[in-house]
Amino acid sequence: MRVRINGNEVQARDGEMILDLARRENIDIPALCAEERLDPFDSCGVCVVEVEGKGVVKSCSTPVEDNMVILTKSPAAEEVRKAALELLLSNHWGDCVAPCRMACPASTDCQAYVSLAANGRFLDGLKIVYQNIPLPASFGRICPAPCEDACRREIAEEPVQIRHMKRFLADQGLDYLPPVGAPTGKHVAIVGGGPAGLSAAFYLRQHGHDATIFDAMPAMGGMLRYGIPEYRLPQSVIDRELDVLRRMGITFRNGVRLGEDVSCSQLEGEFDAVFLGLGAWGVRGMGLPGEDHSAVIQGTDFLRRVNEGERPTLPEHVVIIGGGNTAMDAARCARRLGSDVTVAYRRTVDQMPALEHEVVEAEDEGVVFQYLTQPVEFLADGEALQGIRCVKMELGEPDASGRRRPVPVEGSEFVIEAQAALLAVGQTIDTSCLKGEQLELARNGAILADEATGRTARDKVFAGGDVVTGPAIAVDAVGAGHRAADAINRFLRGETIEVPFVYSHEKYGVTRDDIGNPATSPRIRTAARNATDRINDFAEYESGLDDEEAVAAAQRCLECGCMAFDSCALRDYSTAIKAEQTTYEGDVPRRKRDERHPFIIRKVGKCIACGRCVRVCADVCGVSAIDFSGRGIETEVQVPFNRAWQDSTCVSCGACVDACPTGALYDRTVLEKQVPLELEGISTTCVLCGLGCEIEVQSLDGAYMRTTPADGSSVLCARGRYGWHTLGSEKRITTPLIRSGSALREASWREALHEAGKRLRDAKGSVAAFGTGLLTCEEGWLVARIAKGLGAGAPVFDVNAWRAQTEIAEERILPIEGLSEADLIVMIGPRSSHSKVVLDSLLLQEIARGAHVISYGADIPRATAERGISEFGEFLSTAHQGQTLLGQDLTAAKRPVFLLEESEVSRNVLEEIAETVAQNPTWSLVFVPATANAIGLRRLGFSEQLRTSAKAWLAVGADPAAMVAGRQHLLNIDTLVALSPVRSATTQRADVVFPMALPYETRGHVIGARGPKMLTPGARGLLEEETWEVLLRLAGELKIEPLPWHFDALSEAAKCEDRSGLGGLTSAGATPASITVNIDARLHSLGI
Amino acid sequence: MSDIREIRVGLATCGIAAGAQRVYEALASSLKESGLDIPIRRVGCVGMCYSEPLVDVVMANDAVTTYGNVTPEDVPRVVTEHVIGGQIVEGLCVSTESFLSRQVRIVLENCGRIDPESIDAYREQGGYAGLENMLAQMSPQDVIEMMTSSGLRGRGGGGFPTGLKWSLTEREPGAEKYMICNADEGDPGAFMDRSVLEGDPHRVLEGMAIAAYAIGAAHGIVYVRAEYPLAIARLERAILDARAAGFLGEDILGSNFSFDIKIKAGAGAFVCGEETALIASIEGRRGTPRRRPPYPSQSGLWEKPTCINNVETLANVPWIIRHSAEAFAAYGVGKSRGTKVFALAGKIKHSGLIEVPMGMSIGEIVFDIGGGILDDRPLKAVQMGGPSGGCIPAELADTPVDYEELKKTGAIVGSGGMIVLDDSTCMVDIARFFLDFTQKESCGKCTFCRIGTKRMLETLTKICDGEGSPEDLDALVDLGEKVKANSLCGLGQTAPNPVLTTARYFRDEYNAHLVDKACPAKVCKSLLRFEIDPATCKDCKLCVKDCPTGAITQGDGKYQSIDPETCVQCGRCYQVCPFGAIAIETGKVNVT
Repeated sequence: MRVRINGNEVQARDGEMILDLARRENIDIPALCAEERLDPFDSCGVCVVEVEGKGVVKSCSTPVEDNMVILTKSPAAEEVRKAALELLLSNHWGDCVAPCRMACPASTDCQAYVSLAANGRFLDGLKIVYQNIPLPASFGRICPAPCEDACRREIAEEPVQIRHMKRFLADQGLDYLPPVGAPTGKHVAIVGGGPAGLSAAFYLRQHGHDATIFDAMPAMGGMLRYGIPEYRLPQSVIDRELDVLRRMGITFRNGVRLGEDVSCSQLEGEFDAVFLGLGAWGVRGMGLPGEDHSAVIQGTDFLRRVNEGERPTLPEHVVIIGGGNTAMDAARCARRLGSDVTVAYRRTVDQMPALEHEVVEAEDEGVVFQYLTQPVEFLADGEALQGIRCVKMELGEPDASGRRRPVPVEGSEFVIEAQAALLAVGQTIDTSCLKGEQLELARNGAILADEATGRTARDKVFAGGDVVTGPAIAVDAVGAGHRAADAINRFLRGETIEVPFVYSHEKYGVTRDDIGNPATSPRIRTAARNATDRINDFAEYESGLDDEEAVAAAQRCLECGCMAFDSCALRDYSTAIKAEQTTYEGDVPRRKRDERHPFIIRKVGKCIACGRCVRVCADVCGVSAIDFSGRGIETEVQVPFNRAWQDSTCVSCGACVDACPTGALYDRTVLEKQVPLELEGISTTCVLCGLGCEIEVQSLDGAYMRTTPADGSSVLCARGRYGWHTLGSEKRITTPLIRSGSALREASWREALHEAGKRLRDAKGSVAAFGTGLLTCEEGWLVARIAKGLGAGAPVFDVNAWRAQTEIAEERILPIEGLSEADLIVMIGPRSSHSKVVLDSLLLQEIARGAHVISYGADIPRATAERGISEFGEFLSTAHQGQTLLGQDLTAAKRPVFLLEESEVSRNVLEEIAETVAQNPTWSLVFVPATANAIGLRRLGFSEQLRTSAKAWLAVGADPAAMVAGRQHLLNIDTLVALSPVRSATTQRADVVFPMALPYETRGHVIGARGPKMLTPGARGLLEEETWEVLLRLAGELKIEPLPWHFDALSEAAKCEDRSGLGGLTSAGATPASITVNIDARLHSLGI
Repeated sequence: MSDIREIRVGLATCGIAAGAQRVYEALASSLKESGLDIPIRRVGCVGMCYSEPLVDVVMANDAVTTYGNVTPEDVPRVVTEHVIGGQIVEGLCVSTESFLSRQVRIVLENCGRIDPESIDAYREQGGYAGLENMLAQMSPQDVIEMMTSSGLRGRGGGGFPTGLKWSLTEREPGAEKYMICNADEGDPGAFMDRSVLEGDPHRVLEGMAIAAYAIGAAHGIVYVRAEYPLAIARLERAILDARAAGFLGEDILGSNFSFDIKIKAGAGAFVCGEETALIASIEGRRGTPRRRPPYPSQSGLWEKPTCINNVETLANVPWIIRHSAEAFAAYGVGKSRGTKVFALAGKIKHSGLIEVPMGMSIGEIVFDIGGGILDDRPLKAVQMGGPSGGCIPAELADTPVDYEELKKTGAIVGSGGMIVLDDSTCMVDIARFFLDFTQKESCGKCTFCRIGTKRMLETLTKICDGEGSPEDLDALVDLGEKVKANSLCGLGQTAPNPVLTTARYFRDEYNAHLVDKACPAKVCKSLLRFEIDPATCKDCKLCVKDCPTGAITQGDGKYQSIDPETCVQCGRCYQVCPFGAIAIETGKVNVT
């Protein structure tokens, strides 16, 4: 039938739902509860469309009709969609982004770097800091840290030490150079080398543009360098950070003054874009009698001179006028120059804008504060200033700033003795240098620029920082510079400059109970020099955190931000429709996080009751571990009878996590403390069993984080998905080891290769080589080559393997995908515990398609029939098979397929089945090999014959010392060289151990139930070399020649890229090596 | 004495609750003591719940004398004076004339008249004759045709034509079909189905058997609330008797038609009255509705074609078969034919169960049958159709009971709950009351019902608490319309009705709450002020003693005064004041 959708006529299928049609036509209709694998559920109300004559309907459950006219984005549909989303938002308890990040003017991902630090991933953390802060060491010292004010821990106790964490990471990563983007050939001029300009230059460079900074002062840094005293921010720290920028290729041009040496329009002519980050260097006077006296100095001038290295001689009594941070800096510098210092401030201490700790520290250093004190005249006697006449103030009515206005107390005049006065009553914007340029300026001289992009009235000119906002904190300027850099980048690439709206949900009114009453854990006190000591010089007085302290301080993070921040459909749709959180504001059930499951974390408050987890668990996985409970607004997903999740029938497949459209369910990464991170996914194949599932290895800059199914809709088992987590880095072998007495010691590669080579050459002719079913074809080929070179004969699997003798035509053995062609599937024998959920999900798909499944000895959900395994034995042994129940089923079927797992049926049975299948031309066989690459290795000549006379063993990934067959010969050998990723029984006994890459860290081919697959290293791992490289080096050491020294040549030599389906039934089984033993033991201990 | 044929005691749940069991026992022993052999029948509810316990003395000539509000102590007088003496006990006698004379009793034909536990009693009234005749003479198509021309529509609330529903199920291929009787009566204040099941269970079974024959079903299920134990017990008994008598089971009356019935007790979730949720519940799953199509007629219980009819609908069926479609269609108006049973509740004199021809006006029901408003206060509105029906204001009392006409008012016929409200009812509060019920009973599946009704309730609560603003009302109505339009099942689609109808007909009352911060009916406590009238106060200090928060203290003058800050508007002072000196005020304080 034909229907019109959004004005286009398309062909629709009979009975098809509108949503399915739209998805086929690549028309995006937002939908939260609908998913292709599941029947329509009709609950979220988001997938609405307008149908002519029917009004607004749910597209997931409305079948198409002939000549239907559908509008997916009509105003009526959008109104309902928005209402549905806003209702869901009104009941959603969670933060898309952590409050610390929301509070940061530069949007620094505080939670991410704090949590990475908590996991000991310091460099990864620093990289996150650099995403928003180009000068982390400086800001880690001087930032007023609005993030800490927003930190939820503050509800219980002091906030997390976010600023200190930044300083710690920056001081750690001295060698790190942030990457720059691919060159674009565009060049941007930046005027002003302060926080705004440096930030703009940094991020422009990361976008690949050239950046030149012009600055009037002799050195870059702006107010960081010339305004902040050395004792807070050493010049050496700034220099070090500027050096990073210089090494990134940013050009510094100092001593160039805008309006004098170069004009804005000139820069516009010469560069592709201009960024103005001039700061606010003007100063405000007080207009008092005697103010023009030479001993009345601007605080900023004074600070600049001190920072430039001058140590002016100050008189005995100095008065600072003002109450901001500049006043504090001036006061404390004056103290350090030996003066008695009084700060005169016209309001009270509570209203003083200076940071509290600055005031306290100034007091500690002996600075005297006179509050409610307003100077009215500078008193001079000729050359010398004598004092300042002041008047006492009292607080009156609130003024425009909301603070109570100080008013003079009549007759309260008095004189403060002072030979010098430093004015710190405010900075102003001075844009006189822009006179004559076509820029729009505010009355106070500020450049008018868009806050989100820095766009000014002129196309190519952008501006940000204090010159736009007036004096503000440095991190504001960094944020402005960054936003402008992004906008300039979009401008230079011809994209829309405007910043798109992004929805961010927040928790309002969080209480101590909501944050789970965290155990008391105070901030870690960082050492500071005592006041009497520190006023003697300008050296930095505060210390940073050490490694241990940093980890402990970071552990205090409450992990507010959502793990699904970048994948949440609720957020994406809310963004697209510009939904608001508070349209339907009401009580939100403050459901708590549930972390009892070993791998799956539930943030129950974020659940939108779409039921995808419940339905996927039941209908896709055949498990039914969870269901809804409660009614109305209390409805929530629970394990039946409210038992703990892990006490359910849950098999830890994680399919519910993949199904969850929000952050209500997410799985643990390998990290101990969870961190919301943007991960990079690389598709590869799981090698933990013969199924060979397509997986995606998710990594952070090459470091393994988690595994997900490659296509998001298939199901993995607990072993494939979470098994790698359980290995833990403490079990990994990362350096070569050599036996020294009863223990193993770390050794260099050179030394270890030498030792191994010598020992194996000595044993030549009496060597046995072991491999495992996890080895790739390339690795297997090298093992076989080495074995041959050492006269060891065929390499062996690490256990007694077997193989079926019968061979049947290759086209009759199907890869597992062949199930989809069958109308009858006969499952023989049980499924192994780990593959169960994967096989069941495949079979459920086929059942839904209409195939009959008959199982012998297995409980397959929704099977047509379940029969005892002995009944199958009778079928096999009966002469007239057609008369048996199964025989009749087989006769009725057009394309019957037998399915079995090699590891779960005996050799005899396999042979008999093969024989039976071979006799009937319409029957086929699908089997799951016992290990990932059993087929490939068999082709390379791996055998199950253990050479018992061997004196030396080479074990590659295998763990023969743990196996019954191996153990009994262990005493006969005098050399054991092992390659292994983790410690095992074999490495304990070995003389030389080489580290080995995990399968997701190396490349190569395997041939499993799905045919040949190429493994791609999805993570860099802890090692520098992939396993095939280690084996090549060992072969080289053994003088085995010729060797294919490139991977492609090796791959070609191994010739294991399959050409013929799965090949004959000639596979051999092998028990997986130490990796799987380790994983399985750990999973078992977790009850899985 | 010898003229007395039998004595009937109403022993439905309403009667038992009023003490009818003890009256029955007293009557039995009294007759025995007097050596009288007069049969006592335990019958169901005749509908006059306001006069329970009821005792009918039935003469051989069918003349009935009804005694109401009978206590065990009254029994000896009835026996001595009436049964033995032949004199009607005047003071105890209640008139049934005004209550019954304007009713037309089809569904309730036997209720209160026959022993529900006796299949013979049912047969004596012509029971199962319809089934017998049908099996002998009619094809399933004939039966469907008859239902169609009778104009019978679903009495559970949907009003879907019964004949059409049957024919849709009949039309579906497949040998296995199900006939379900929906007895999950969940509306607060509604007890029509319960009374029928308790008073005349065989009628429902016969209706089911006829329906099953028409659609071709062999399996029947009565889905009944577990909160109706008496109805379940009587149904169980009736099923056993009907099976023994050959009206259920294999090869019924030698016709080759087989049909049997099981009972499924539901756990009392309101939403399980919804067809698809009911099916899920029978299948052992969580009782939540699902999308339609497929309709139950296509894919219902165990994915087989299934027909679900309400108790009252099915109770009409044997009558139609027995009396003809024309006889049924003779009652009613327009597209609403036959009769409808209503449960009268609220501020009405004759609260109970009635059955009237479709088309009778609401005013006639309330005043002519219902006897008018309690204490003769003015009628303010009638809540029709249960918690998800709508409020019909007094000025629309002429509206006839007709599916289409009622829908125009924003209310629905619904299953037949009728709650009568007088001027002491706050319409905002009543809307909140009903919405509170539906939002708690929401299955939680779809967004608009799960969250929308909750947000609406919060807004109503805000308004009742005097914290609303005029924009809140617009937002409330807007959200209500969205919930109505976009919810998955009938529960959500109708839940906003009380709010929408009260906002439509009683906008002034909402505005009083929103603008003047006043509750004109003086119900919303947050908006009330209790004040002491010094002229009436005798300074007895009873109120001072009873005030739980110590809000009443010596004021400026000699008399007590109530501190509005401390007062929690509990109303105890109002109740205890012997002089009526406490006044309840509402609205903003007039600054003079």
